[in-house]
Amino acid sequence: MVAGGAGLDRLLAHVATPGTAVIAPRSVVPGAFVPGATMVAADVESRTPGCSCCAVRLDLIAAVERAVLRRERPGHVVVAVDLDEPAAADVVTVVYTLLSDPDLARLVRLDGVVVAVDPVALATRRAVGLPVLRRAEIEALAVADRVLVGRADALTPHVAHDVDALLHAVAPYAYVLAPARVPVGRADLFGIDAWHGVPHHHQPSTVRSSLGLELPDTVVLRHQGALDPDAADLFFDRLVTGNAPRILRFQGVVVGRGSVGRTCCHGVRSYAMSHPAAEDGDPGPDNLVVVTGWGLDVDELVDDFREATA
Amino acid sequence: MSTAPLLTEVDSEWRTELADGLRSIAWSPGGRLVAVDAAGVVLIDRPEQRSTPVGPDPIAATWLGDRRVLVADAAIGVVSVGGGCERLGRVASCLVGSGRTVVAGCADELVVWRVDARDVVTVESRCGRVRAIAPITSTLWAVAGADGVSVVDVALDAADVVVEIPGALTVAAHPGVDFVAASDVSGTVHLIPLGGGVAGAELDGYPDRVRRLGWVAGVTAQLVAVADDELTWWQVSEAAGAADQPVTVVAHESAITALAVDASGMVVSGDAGGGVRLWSPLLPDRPVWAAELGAPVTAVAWSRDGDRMVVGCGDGSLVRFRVFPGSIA
Repeated sequence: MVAGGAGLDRLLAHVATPGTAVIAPRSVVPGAFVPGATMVAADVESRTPGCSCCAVRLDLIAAVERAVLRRERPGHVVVAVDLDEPAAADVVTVVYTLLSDPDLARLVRLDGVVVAVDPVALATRRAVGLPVLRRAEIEALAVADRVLVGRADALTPHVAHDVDALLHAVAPYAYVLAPARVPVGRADLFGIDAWHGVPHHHQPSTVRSSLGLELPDTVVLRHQGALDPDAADLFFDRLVTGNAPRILRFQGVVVGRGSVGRTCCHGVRSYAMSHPAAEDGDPGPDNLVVVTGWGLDVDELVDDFREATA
Repeated sequence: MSTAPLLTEVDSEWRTELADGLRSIAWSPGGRLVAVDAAGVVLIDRPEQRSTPVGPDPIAATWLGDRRVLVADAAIGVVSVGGGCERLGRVASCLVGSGRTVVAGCADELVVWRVDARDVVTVESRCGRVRAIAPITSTLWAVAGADGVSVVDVALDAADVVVEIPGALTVAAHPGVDFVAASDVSGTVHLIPLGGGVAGAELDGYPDRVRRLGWVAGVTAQLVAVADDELTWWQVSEAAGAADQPVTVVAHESAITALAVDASGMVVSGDAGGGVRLWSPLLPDRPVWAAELGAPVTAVAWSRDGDRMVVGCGDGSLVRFRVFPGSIA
């Protein structure tokens, strides 16, 4: 999935190579850039009336089916999100839809979330005292696996450093890539399988905002040694039921007593899923869970996890 | 003199391959066939009779009378095919024909084409952004929208019924029993009476949304609902409403992706694995015929007389079958 504001059309044209299907918001008007793109207009509906934590994008369900059910099935489907279009800018709802819808689960697997940012716009907003990021941008970055920084060569070293620091603080799961500094290839953006294994994260501990922005919290929970499976289930139940409206993303691996390998778990809002984790020799603790969300009760989460490990 | 076979028989009349995955199939009142694939190629009547692409992302095709086909394309809007190709504009979420009338759902409006009228009529849906439509008569249409379900008279631009149902998704109308059925995102089917006498009902118990609905005619009609790999048959009568419990059948080995009901009550369903099953209302708990087409079924349609059905798949294959309904099943 690719999200961005200005320049999203150019990015789509860049990633839409043969064998890749593109689903793009009508607002981006990608037809001129991406022949054959499937155009959508956001149609958001909640599975439970009035509940925002189980909202889905109905238009995407139909669009992904159209994109995939072809004579030559695409190897990748790029779902583009226009962060400048208020009705469709909610990346977390798109992720929730892709992960939770049973029809889509048959057809596609969420590979990763790529967010394109214009650092010049960020630096300008900061310089003139405007909010540097809007809520939709913050949420997109908070769940992003790759942040693609365009026009990085247009910044002075000092401003570039500031922007990098900002992005690292807002995007806890992401690798920040700047094509102007280091070439970015297709393999950097596709086939990254970022939602189905040990979470990449670069926050050594719980981080709270020191940037003058209201940011989501990120909690990193680690434990060495096998967990009681029932206690681990209870932890995840509590995590989701107690925080569903606030959770932007959680991901982790846990090992239960008596299990051969680790179990991968991931979720967003009210959705949670687990499956056996591929053992790729990734070093790290037996159990690692990273949770990102608005206004999380960090102490409570830490205590709940400690109970699960007792 | 011919007699009906005891058991249903199905013969394959022809099979062809289109350039891309099948998107939509429809029959005209006079028995003409149209199928459109993902490349926008329109097949008319016979495998060798095909158009050049009419649009990059077609979602539905239907007949307006027997001479003109309308195709809804997600990128360029509605296109008229027949006597040349003409863009009519308006991007539609759905497009359905009843023979002499075609209605498209375009945002909060219904756009209406009539075979004998030059002017296009636009009326308000009365239920928000349109997601599905179903004909009751040529002028009376059931509409499922983001805010609920309405029954709109497109000739008078008036609503007969408006019911608030958050997240309405699909709709099916059966004029004989005076009911409209609509499913919603949460997995409930709403039975809405069009006349007086019997109360509406909520048919629930589905773990996820009901994708497709169809009505089987009869004194006691049956509402067929599709959820995942299951078919549920609800008996519905004008006097008593819906039965307390449906007949539920695990009908396919993978998720059901297409459903169509013919005028005599035969039901065809197709699944994500390429399975096709034919069902008789006389025998709802087991298929009367089955076939495997090898690719996900994306569209099915019955001819008006029920003699023929056409099945289309995601790999572009299109198969026309002749159906001989059995006297037992």
